[in-house]
Amino acid sequence: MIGTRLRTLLASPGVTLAVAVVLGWLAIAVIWPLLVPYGPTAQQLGGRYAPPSAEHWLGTDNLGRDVLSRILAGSRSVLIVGLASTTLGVAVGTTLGLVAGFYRGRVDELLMRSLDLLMAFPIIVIASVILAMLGPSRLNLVLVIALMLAPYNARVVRSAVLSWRDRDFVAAARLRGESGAYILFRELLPNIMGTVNVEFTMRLALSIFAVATLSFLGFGIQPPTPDWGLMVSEGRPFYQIAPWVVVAPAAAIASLVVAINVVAQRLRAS
Amino acid sequence: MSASAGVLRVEGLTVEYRVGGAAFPAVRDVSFSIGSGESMGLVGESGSGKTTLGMAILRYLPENGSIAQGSIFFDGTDLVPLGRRELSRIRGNRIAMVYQNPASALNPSLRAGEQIAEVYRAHLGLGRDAARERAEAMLDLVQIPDPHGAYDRYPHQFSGGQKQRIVIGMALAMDPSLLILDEPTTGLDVTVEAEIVELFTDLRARFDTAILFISHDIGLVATVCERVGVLYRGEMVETGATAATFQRPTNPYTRGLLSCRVPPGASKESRRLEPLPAGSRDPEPGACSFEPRCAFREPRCRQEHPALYDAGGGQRSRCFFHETVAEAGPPAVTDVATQPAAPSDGTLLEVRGLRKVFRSGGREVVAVEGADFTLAAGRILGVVGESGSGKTTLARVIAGLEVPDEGRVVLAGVDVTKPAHKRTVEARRALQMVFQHPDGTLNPSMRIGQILRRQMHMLSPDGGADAEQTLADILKAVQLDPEHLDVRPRQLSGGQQQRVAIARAFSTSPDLVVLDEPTSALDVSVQAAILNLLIDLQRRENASYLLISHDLAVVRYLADDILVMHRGRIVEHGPAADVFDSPQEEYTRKLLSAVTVHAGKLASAGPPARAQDTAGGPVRT
Repeated sequence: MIGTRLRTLLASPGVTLAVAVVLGWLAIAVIWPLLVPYGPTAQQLGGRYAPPSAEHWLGTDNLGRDVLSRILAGSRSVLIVGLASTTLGVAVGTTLGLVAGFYRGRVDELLMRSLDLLMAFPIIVIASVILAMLGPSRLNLVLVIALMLAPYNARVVRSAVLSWRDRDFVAAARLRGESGAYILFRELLPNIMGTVNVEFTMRLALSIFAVATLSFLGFGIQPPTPDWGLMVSEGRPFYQIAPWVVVAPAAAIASLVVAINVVAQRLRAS
Repeated sequence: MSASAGVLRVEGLTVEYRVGGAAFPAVRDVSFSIGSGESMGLVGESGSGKTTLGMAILRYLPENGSIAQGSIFFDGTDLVPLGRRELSRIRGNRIAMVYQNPASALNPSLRAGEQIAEVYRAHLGLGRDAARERAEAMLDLVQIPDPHGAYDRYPHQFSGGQKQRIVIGMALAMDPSLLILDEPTTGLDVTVEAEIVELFTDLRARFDTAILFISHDIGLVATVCERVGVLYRGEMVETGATAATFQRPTNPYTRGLLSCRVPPGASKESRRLEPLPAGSRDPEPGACSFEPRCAFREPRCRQEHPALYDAGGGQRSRCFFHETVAEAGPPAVTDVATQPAAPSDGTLLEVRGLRKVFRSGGREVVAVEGADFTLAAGRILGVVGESGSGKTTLARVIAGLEVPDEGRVVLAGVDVTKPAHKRTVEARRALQMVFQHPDGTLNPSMRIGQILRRQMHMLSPDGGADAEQTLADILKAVQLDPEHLDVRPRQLSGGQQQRVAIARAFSTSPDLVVLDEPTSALDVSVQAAILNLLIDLQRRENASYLLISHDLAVVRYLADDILVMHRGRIVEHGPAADVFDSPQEEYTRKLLSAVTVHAGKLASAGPPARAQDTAGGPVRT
């Protein structure tokens, strides 16, 4: 079954490319220390703003650091924070969606209205406010992004549950005296895993975008750690003299987010 | 009637669906013709290709469907090579189709009368007033009360049966040369179905329309149609005049279909049902498609594909041995009838003053009101009534899926007026339920073994010791193989899924089994086997059944006692024979007479029983 799914996923060249890009970044995040030509934080004050060349494929930044090395190294933090926050957010959202969709009634009302409230604020605004209060750290970043993703995920899962809750096998489980948790996670969840997987992929793209944005705004990863969003922000003042310092990390963000979105679209279509 | 003129003549039609690169024929080399004023029925079980055939005639096939071969002559013109524009002119003006679901055929935001008047305006170019006049006349013709007032009402203000009448009115308004009806009464209550059938018979006399009537219901086709075609796996296996074909079937499949029906008026004490064996394998390529299930098979049937032979009496049969089949007559009635229910040894279920109200948006709907009855151990109680009569709610309250607003449910002396999860394990073990939809009753993400073992784990007091033995026993009882434990529900047929559901219910030796429409989603050939199984298990376990069904023949056959519900109330309750033979209430009489309308026709066409030993292979539905 996995085989068929993979085959449908790889049916079009665009999707194949997207899968390759995502897998490529994942691999780089793991093995970047073996790939980087220079230390990502190694400064070379004599060689600041060097344009792309044979020594520095993507040039150097305002402190003479190798941009390519920083981009390769930066993939790790963005993917770790992105994956962790998505996993947490989708886990929480899926649980809330299952509960709201299965129990309906007052529980559903209360949950969904609270989530509506959370969704009423622009994600980035509320995230930056919370991070400003909590202080920037990777853990806080993960928690905040997860909190922001969960309501959207909960809504989608809830509507998926609605189409299953009235099936007779759920009635059969109730007649057997199964607990609510058993019905939610054993009877219902496996049947909506397709939806959850698509959700996860789509939220992952959003989450990576959020990590980059928050770091760009200064609420996320702190210098001198190499991070894509931070690199864009750091390079911005020197954009006129060294555009590669901004363009390269921006392109990295775009490549990962777009590739994940393409995969998500394909998953949703199948 | 000028049948030779042939309003519709289908020749060698093959329709294929493409699935993942491979082509699957849904209709194979089908030929037939219908003359003006003639009505032809197409019967077959699910997957026989009857609906595809109906759609193909209008060239309304899904994206992946295409006509691979053959011609469809309509008034002498072949529709197959026609372009979209010419086709839509013919479709709109000359051919009309009525589908199963009337609600989707009507525009909910347009007045009912307008929708008919629109047909007159578009096709006859009539003015507003003239069109309205004609539309009201048509509403009257299809027997909608107060046509003038009805004209201005919206579709949702009509009942399901009335909506279907309006759709039929729209179809007839264009005075089509051909009317295709695809299961037009499926989903309607029996009383409504009877009225619609009556309407057809009435209208047929007034219009010169050729009718193609597609249905799974042999009885219905016998009532409405002069000629019939029987489809099996996309092939026409028998054609002929309806009365003759059903009286003297010359194809083993037709014969099987006729014999596995629940005979109207029969009870389980009078005779046992004859299920049509399910084939244990797929037919050989190039052989007879029915061979694996056939009682008349010979070695030749596995090697050659039979043609449609002339079987005499205007019948044609796709069988090498049509003469043998014709001579065999109907299958013998096996005398292994069940013993009447043992005199009851006490009350098992007691329902007192039950009332259930559903509230939504400030509106209250009383689903069940003042339900009072008892059910003795070891007896089968049939609950009948139309949709909305409260029979399913009654069952769900008793099972513990709903909590009543008033009243008590007492099971084996213990008050169980509470939701299932608050009942004792013993009460949950004692009461089991079998649901209507085989595909919804088993969790698609679980294997059959998991489903059954979980049931026993939760409800068997002695735990796991004998569980595997019990499992093996119950699988054998429902005629499934141990290999079935490892598959998922999707890999099973509807009949097999329902067997698993029955195994699940019986794995804990229940005292009471609530059966909610247990066979209504199944094909007739499967239904007989499931009903036999239910009877055997009931006798073996001495369980009581609460059987909910809209199919009165099934209820008559199974039940010892009958409870008739109407608008949430129990209107009649008594022994089955009394209720069916001498109903006391007006409503019961109306309900019962509705069934006999078309069941009677086939019963009278039914030949006398004749002894013949049927070699029917093992039943592995």
